Amino acid sequence: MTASRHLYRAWIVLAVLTIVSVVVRLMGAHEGVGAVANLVALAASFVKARQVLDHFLGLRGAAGGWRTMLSALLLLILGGVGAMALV
Amino acid sequence: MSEPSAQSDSWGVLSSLPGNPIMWVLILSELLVFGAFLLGFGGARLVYPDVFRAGQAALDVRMGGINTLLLVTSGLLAALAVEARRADRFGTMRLCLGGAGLLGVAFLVIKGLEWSREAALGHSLSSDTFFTLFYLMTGFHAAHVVMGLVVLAIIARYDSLENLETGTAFWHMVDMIWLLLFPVLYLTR
Repeated sequence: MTASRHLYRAWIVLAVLTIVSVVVRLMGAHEGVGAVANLVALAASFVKARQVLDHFLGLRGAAGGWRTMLSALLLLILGGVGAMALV
Repeated sequence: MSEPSAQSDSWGVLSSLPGNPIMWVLILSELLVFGAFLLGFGGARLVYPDVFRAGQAALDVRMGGINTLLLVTSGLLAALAVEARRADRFGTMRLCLGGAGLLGVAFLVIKGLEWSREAALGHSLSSDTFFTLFYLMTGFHAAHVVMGLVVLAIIARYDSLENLETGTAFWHMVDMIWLLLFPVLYLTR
């Protein structure tokens, strides 16, 4: 299972970030920390999507700037939504 | 997923990507389509802030969170299935694919319960802009989950390494799209 270790590590990151995002949102509903909850949710989403791309889809070793391009696309989507939420 | 093969050299810039290049064309297309959906959702929230605030407050964040955990765990099992296939451990491979599929079905069941809950609260497709977009986006994604389950069943039967890599890539794409939908629909306000 040594070869699969990076998959388990990625899954732990995915699960922990999901739980943190939900907990921060649920706390935010009561304590008025909406902007922080938004930031945590969108940043966690970016990191999680990168984990799936790199580890589950195997993009880690890909050449040719694909990781940069896909990261930029994710940033454009999540950053755009985040910017509109701030207005 | 595997390193690019010599056979895929004719795919130009796509040749450097792992797995079947056509799957990456699909992944990029889906990211662009759902990305447009999400940006449209953000724009609509600017126009109808009160409607969206009320709509999001009516959603069950816990159900969305549980569904996220189900899909990422399903993604792990799908990735482990490929690892098992590489090691010619066919029993483990089928077990992992079966587990991935079951978690996908569980995702759909919870999604169905969530839609039923919202419908019982009087939130339909035509209630307001928020729920129109909510049902359309989650429904479109759920259709991808159903298609992904079909793909998982096919690759469990026709289990070449290339089929496994390509089929599970579709499943990971469905997983990744949900990771973008969940925070925007449920968490960002």
